[in-house]
Amino acid sequence: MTLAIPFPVAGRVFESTPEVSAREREQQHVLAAQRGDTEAFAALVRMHQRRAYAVARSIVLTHEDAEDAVQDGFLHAYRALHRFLPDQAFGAWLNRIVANAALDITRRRKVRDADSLAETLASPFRDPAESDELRRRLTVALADLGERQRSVLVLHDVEGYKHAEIGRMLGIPEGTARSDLHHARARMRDALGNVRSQL
Amino acid sequence: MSMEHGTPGNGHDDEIRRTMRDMYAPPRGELYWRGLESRIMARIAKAADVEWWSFFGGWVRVGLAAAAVAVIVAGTMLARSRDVQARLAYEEAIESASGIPVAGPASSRAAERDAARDATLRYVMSY
Repeated sequence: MTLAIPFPVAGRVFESTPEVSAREREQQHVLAAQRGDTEAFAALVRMHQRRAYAVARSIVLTHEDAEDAVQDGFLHAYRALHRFLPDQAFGAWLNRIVANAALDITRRRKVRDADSLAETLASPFRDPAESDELRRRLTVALADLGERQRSVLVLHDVEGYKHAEIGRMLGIPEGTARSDLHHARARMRDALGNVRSQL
Repeated sequence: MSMEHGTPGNGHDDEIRRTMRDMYAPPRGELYWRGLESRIMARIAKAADVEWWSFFGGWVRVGLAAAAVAVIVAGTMLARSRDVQARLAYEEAIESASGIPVAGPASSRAAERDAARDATLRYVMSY
């Protein structure tokens, strides 16, 4: 049973559904964090770190880089918190920042050559389960995709984001996200075509 | 490979999708997330400390620059005051020197005028 108790926020009356009260709670944390309350910012970290990780992980190639991107993203968000308007969705704003941090890390990683990257990804130390052939080929095929196509593919097909949300997150038009997804799928289909016959 | 949400693909596509979701799955276990939160907050605290020091570091730089300017200004003022003192001392010496009677053509002319006046007076008195 959902409690529906009306309460005013900024002159408007909302019903106290769990979603609205979570939003209101988030707003209170944001306002407190903007006043310098680090405990309130820690609460925001607890609320959003899983989604932030998922966004970062869809862009970078390793768990370690995803964690770095999440940390960088939260740090950037903390520094830019005074510019954030509390009536906006903190999660969407944060995800854009984390996506940018992840893209920065990916660009820095480009100095590494493709062979060493493939070895890193396939290393049993990184992930013992990669002995599985499909997983290994998938890893290599995803690494071969451009960073934007891979991000769009993973954000859409794994994380379930819509094209428009992906566009906002990565700073690209919705149509570009749609066409990136199409091309990424086509390239994955080509890369995994021979696995299809082997498995 | 369809990999569309909500559209059932063939078994292979499902397996690919499952594998991808598995590969990209966030770490399980509350311990990991508590640890990540601590690491994030530690980085924020460290960055805040650095910013605090860099704030003062900025003021130290301003202070050093101000001190350097003050030293230059003081040096210039000192040099100027020495020049002024030297000039004043020179002018004072010149002025005091002009008050000393100096033997020369002007004084001999005055003595000649006095002698002529005395001679004239003596001549008038003799009658």
